[in-house]
Formats: sequence, structure tokens, C-alpha cells
Amino acid sequence: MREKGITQTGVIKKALGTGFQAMADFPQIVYPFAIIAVIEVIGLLLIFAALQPPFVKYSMPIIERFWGAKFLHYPLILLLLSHLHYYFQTVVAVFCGAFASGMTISAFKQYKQEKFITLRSAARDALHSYWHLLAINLIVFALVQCAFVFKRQAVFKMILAMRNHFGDEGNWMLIHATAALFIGAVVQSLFVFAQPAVVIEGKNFISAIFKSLILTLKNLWVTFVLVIFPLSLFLPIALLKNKLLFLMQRFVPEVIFLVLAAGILLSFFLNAGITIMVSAGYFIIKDERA
Amino acid sequence: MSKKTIRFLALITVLMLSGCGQQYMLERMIWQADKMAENILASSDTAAPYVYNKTVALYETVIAKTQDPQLLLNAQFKLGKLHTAQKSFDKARDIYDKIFISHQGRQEVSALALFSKGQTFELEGKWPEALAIFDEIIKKYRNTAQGLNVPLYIARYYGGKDDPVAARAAYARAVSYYEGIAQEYPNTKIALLAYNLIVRTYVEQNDWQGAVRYIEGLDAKYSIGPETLFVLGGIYSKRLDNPGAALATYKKILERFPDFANKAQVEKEIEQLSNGGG
Repeated sequence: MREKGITQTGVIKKALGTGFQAMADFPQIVYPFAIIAVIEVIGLLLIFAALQPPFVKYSMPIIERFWGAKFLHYPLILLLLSHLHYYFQTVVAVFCGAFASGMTISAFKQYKQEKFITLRSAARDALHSYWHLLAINLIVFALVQCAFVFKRQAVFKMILAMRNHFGDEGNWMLIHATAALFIGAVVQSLFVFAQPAVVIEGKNFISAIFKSLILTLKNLWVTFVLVIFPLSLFLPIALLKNKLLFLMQRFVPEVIFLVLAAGILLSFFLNAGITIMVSAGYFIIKDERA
Repeated sequence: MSKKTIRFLALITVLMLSGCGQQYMLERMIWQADKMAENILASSDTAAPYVYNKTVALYETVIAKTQDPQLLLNAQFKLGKLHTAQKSFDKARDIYDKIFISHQGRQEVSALALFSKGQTFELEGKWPEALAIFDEIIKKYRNTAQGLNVPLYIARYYGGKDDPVAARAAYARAVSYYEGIAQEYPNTKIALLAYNLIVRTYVEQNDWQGAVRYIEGLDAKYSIGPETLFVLGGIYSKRLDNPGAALATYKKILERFPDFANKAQVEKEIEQLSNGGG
């Protein structure tokens, strides 16, 4: 039950305090997201290998069909690598991310209940709720994609209007990256309490989503500080990813590896941090009603 | 994850990347060498010898190690070009000979190797040797892009030597050669290319009347495409000061090719000419 008289700022302070304390007491709580980061690195290496002889003979027809043969050669191959890795990351985030979130939330639940924490039991919990967690991820992913379609049209119109006004496209294309990140963060924030509701309270994904919508709308400031603000820290990486070609020409093409590595590392910290803090926040506000 | 699993994954990764990385490293070398060669070619007189040597070494490493025939060919041509720029003509010719010998069946590659070899003689001041090679290309590689360009290239050489009589004769030879090609390969891409090259011979001699006559003749015979008509309109308006003919030509484009990709430009030209500009 939410403590009487506790403000949203109070919820944030308490969630951050408990979250950081949980990470300090039981650092293994971030392991699921660390494994995701390792999978993303291995994926990067595997994609790289798939674009090189002898494996390239299998990937070549697809690459030639969708991107063109020149993307199989240095330095454009690195640009292709970053594109393919983005798709890989998306799949990993949806399918493995559901499991990792479930594990982390379950471990935090054990921590809050002062039980003996084991990752094995957390994994069992995550597996038990996996289909609900996955359903939430798929719904969020679908909604983000739909939002991107509207964003693309809106931003494109805005860029056209600005170009007509200022006479130059300039860096307005960067608005795309910023808008994409912001829209993604807003859509995610609406559903951010759904997975804790599944793991902590054993709800099915539909009632968990409704509960999340209610909690989010009643705690906008909490959601902003715990979700939207941390996700906005990803903006520099999103902007760099938008300017990969420029970076390759300005420095060395291998700069792409640095950007991708920074992206993986930051994703690890942000996803682990947000999941733990949101779980902590959920414990404080979970009994609120509409 | 157990330590055994991590070690296994690490081993697999190292083995995979060591096998896969070869092609990547060689392509990276070519890219590095190209960057350095760009600077050398831009300032070949002031390029430091160690930069030149390092660039050559990079290309030679690729040539020695690559299994990819296209990468090999690419590196060989670039090395030849670099040697030529540094006036190491014998070394360049050795490379072009090797390319020529190892690509006997590939007409375009053979023609390009021979042409590049001819250029080394030209740059060395041995025009008769160069001309002999260019003539060989004209005879043996008539239906290649390189072979088609050579007559015009020879004419340009004389044009650049301030020898108007020889230049005029060379341009006339080029025109008759291209007409022969167009008749030999009627209704093909080669014929189209030959007609374009004929137009170019007139343009390069600033013979605007000749160019116009030729294009109009072609149009009457074959009903030419919108791009060539657009060039004709440009010659009328900008070179011959004949806005009436230019306007008629641009209007003809819109009538015949209403979906022409460059339609907006044509309309702009019509508007300017109608307003008395142009």
C-alpha cells in the first residue's frame, strides 16, 4: 500500500534509494542484462563473420538484394554491420529482454521480501511468466513502430517546412533521431509498470497493461524521472548512430565499433537501472486505484 | 555461465574471426592505400618517398595475399596508376602486362590494361609507342567501352598539342570510325554510344553548327531520346543564340516525352525563353 502522504518526489527518492541499495547488496541482480549485453556482443561478431568469407556466400544474395553488393566491401560493410546489428538488438530486446526483465524483477521481489535470493529461482519465475512478459514486449514494440510511422510523416513535414523557410536541410535530420527516441520513451513509459505487475503480482498481461496505464498516468513525474529521463541519456548515442557515415569519413571507419560498443554498454546500464528502479517504485505505488 | 562455456565461446570467436578477418584486413589495406594514393596523386611532385613506398607496400601486400580476383585486379590497376603518377613507367607497364596476360578472356579488362599501358608511354613522351597500342585497342577491342573512347582520346591529344590540322584530321577519323561502329552494330547500345561520341566530337571542336546538324539528322532518322534533345536545346539557346529553335526543341521534348524525368528543368527553360531570357 502506498504510504499515506508520500508525494511523487518521495516515491522517486525512495525508489532510487531502494534500487541502488539492492544493487549494492546483491550485484548479481544485473546479471540478466549483462548476459543480454554479452549476447549483443556475440551477435555483433557473428554478423561480422557472416559478412566475411567463407560464410558470405550464404549471406550475399540477401545483402545484394536489399542493400547492394557494395555493402559487402570495406568500409560500407561496417555501415551494414551496424544496420544488421540494430535488427539483431531489436529481436534480442523483445525476446530475451522479456526474460531478463522477468528475472531482474523477480530477484528484486525476493530482495524486498528479504528472502534468500538466487538467480535460479528468479529464472524459474521469469520462465513461468514468460509468455505474459513477451506479450507486453511485443505490444510495446508494435505500438512504438506505429508511433514511428506517424513520427516519420510529422517530422518529414516539419523538415520540409523548415527547409522551405531556412533554405537548407542542415542538421534537421537529427530531429528524426531525437523524435524517435522521445516517442519510444513515451510509449515505453506507459507500459513500464506492466512487467512488474506480471512478476510481482502474478497478473496476466492484459490486466497488467491496464494497471500500468493507470499507475503511469497517476504518477507522471515518477515515470518521467525513472523512465523518460534515463532513456533520454541515450540521445548522444542515437545521434552518433544517425551520423555514422559522417563519423566514418571524418575519423576511421572502425569508429562504428566504438559507437556500437558504447550503445551496448549504455543499454545495459539503462535497462538494468530502469527495471530495478521501476520495480522499486512499483512496490511503493502498486496498491493505488484509479 | 560456467568458465568452460566462456572459454569455449571465446575460442570459437577467436577462430572464427581469425579466419574471417583476412578479407576485411585486405580491403582495409586497399582503403588505406587509396587514401594515401589520393594525396600522392594530388601532389605527386611533393609527395614524400616514404609515403609512396608505404602505399606501394600496401597494394603489393594485397596483391600477394588476396584470393579475391576482383580485389586483386583493383589493387593491380591502382598500383599501376600510382607508379605512373610517380613516373615509374617500367614498373607500371609490368603490372599492366601482368593484368593483360592473366585476363585474356575479359575484353574490357584487357582493353583497359592496354590503354593504361599506352598512357604510360604517352606520359613518358613516347607518343608513337602509345599510338601503336591505342591503334591495337581500336582494332582488337572495338566493341568495348574503352575501345570506343580511344579515337576521341587520340583526337584530344592532338587538340591539346596545339596542332589544329592534326586535331581536325583525328576528329574526322574518330567520326568516321564511330559511324562505322554504328552501322556495324545497328540498334544496339554500342551504336547509341557511338552516336553520342560523334556529337561529342563536334562539341569538343566547338563546331556547334555541326553538332546541331548531326543531332537533327539523327532525330529525323531515329527519333532520339529526351536527354539528347535537351542538349540540342541548350546548344540552340546558349551557343547559337537561337531562342526560337531552342523553344521549339524544348516543346518537342514535352510533347514526345511527357514523363521525362527532367521535365521541371525543361519547363523552366521554356518559361525563361518565353519571357525573353535564356
